[in-house]
Amino acid sequence: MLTRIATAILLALSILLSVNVAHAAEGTVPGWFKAGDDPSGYAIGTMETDGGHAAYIRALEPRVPGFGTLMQSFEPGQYLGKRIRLQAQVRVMDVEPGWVGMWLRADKDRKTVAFDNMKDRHLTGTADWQECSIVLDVPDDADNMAMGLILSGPGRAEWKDIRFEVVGEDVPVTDLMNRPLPKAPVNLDFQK
Amino acid sequence: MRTTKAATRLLSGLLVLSVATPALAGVVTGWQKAGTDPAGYDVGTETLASGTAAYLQGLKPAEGGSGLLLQHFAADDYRGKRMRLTARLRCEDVSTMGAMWMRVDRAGKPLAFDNMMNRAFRGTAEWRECSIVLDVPEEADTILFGMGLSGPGTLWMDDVSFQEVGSDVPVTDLMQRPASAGPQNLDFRE
Repeated sequence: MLTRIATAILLALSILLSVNVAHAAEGTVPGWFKAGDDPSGYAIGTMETDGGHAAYIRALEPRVPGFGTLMQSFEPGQYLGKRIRLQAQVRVMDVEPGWVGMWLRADKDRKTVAFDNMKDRHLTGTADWQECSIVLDVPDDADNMAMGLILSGPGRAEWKDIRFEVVGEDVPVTDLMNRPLPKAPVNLDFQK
Repeated sequence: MRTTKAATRLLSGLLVLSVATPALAGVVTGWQKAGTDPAGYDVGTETLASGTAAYLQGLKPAEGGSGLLLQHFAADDYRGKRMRLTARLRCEDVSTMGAMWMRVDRAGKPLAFDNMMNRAFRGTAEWRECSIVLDVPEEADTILFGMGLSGPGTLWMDDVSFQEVGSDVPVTDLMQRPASAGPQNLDFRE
């Protein structure tokens, strides 16, 4: 009898412990923070995955009108005047309708001067790990940089194996801001 | 009065609109979500019997805010021309106002603009063809158009076309419209 009670207590304790561990992993990602135009609709956390650690952002409800992002910002000092590349493995689950992109931004006086959020090559639905890459020229006078993973819509996005490095002029930039505007309107029948 | 206020809000929201924040883009290819309260609005496409329509829906709109679905492109090929934006729109349970709009800019400042504030959608309405006609000045650099919604409800847009028209087609530009010669609609029958 005593043994059964002890086992039950042990079991309850282990469940409580596992619940606590789950809570600790969700909610914070050291060095990163949650933002967006609807951050309260999203949760962030870390997880173990095949061959290492990944971070995720997930929507708390099946329908979220805004976007959430897992991000960090940093001083651009050592990257000024250089061409930099952000690479990572990204996968998505049940992001429908919606989209996911990795993003990278350079600012000056709180104004964006270089930016790419993969809007033209975003991930959606459910898709396995894929390599994503963003290349930006950091202007000489940039005073802030930020990067992250954006989820606009329901579901979950994960990323791992993030690499940030200086690359040569031979690597083409993917900057969405400094791209010329299209010469005519597009997708007027909403078929794309 | 309420509609006029809402229209003024939508109008002012459109006039200060900056498209330099592409992170707020929605999920309609080639189009993006914007406005003073993009988080309060949802956008997407929906396949109907007649084809695919885009929608803009106030899900949890903030009081006095607006959501927009828009695209913008270079004005170069349209300078000196009179352009007409035509589309079919319908709405459901729009409590404040919804409308199609078009703007012609130079360096982020509007030169020509119409947001249908005098013929906007409200309540629930079946498909209706709407047109906006603006002259694109020689100094214009960007053209923007789309639909806008203020408050709860859903607005759909379909069959969008953008064409040059002749000088016989009157412009609907709200910025160019001359003041009326005298008081009007004093009996509120208009």
